[in-house]
Amino acid sequence: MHEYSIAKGIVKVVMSTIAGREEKVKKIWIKSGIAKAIMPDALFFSFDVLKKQHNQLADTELCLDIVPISGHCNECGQDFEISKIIAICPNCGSSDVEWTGGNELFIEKIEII
Amino acid sequence: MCKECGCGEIDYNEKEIPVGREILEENSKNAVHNREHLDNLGIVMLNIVGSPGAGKTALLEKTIPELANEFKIAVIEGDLETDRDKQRIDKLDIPCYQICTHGACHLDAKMVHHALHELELDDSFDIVFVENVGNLVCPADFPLGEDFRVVVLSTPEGDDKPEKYPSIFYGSDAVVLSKLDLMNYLDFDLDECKRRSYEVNPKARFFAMSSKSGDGIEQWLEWIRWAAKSPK
Repeated sequence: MHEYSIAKGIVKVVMSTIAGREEKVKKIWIKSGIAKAIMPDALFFSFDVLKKQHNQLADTELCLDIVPISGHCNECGQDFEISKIIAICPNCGSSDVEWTGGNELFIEKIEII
Repeated sequence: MCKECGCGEIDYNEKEIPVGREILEENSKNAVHNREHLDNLGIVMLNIVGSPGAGKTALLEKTIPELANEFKIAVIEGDLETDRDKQRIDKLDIPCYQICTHGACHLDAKMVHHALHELELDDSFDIVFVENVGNLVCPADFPLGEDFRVVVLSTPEGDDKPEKYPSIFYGSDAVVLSKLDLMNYLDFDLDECKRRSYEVNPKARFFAMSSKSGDGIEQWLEWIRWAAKSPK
């Protein structure tokens, strides 16, 4: 259940982002790479528990964007996006790949009202 | 609809604030701090992860005496409760600190930071092994400041583990297949396990060994020797 720790991280980053402001947070956009293995329902559940402790987050909605693993194969030249965790080119099986996405976990933006 | 994920409507009169911050930034900062602390002392840290019962403690019990004449070693143990693993490591007569998470399913960099100070390490030490909480999912997202992450997988768990729990294998530097002595009693296909491990992480070294019999341990020890002397 690492989603609880991640939900705590979301609250911490957002509260420091809005420090000194009085508006409420309506939405939080999150980008989560597939390699982070986050279960959306577990994250939403954890966040819903934690947000009640902060008035400015009481009605906040999480928008979770799961990012596929993407890369460029230096062997066969193919650019690819895959929705399962592998670290070889899905086309030719080479390990000579430049990885461009799938391992991120960050808050992209928030919307305040 | 929300232009990012289609989750709802956006009122463009409302205010959007770009953030662009890592969610686990606090853990990352603490991990970097741990790494700097150990680098200054010339110590290599290995984060040993794997399922409960995979043989992580047994691996340390077998490995440490083999290296004790070459390296000064300390151990950090992680479990939800009890100091049973510390009691086992204490028999090796090396410094060991037990972290009890009281429910948390993984160690984080802050817990390890505290443990590193409790161990009172100095530059006479060479290696710190951290045995993470037995869990094949959550520790993957919480770097501790280690130089290398090693995932321990035992033959009774099945040869398809790397494919079923890919996230922990994905970022690891080495895979230790333990309990090799049991393989003949199980439907375990070593080549399939290696192939699946390669697919999720072609750069990870793969060691098949038995901590009980000692079979296959030499290559693992050679890798530890290399890791301990790797540029820091």
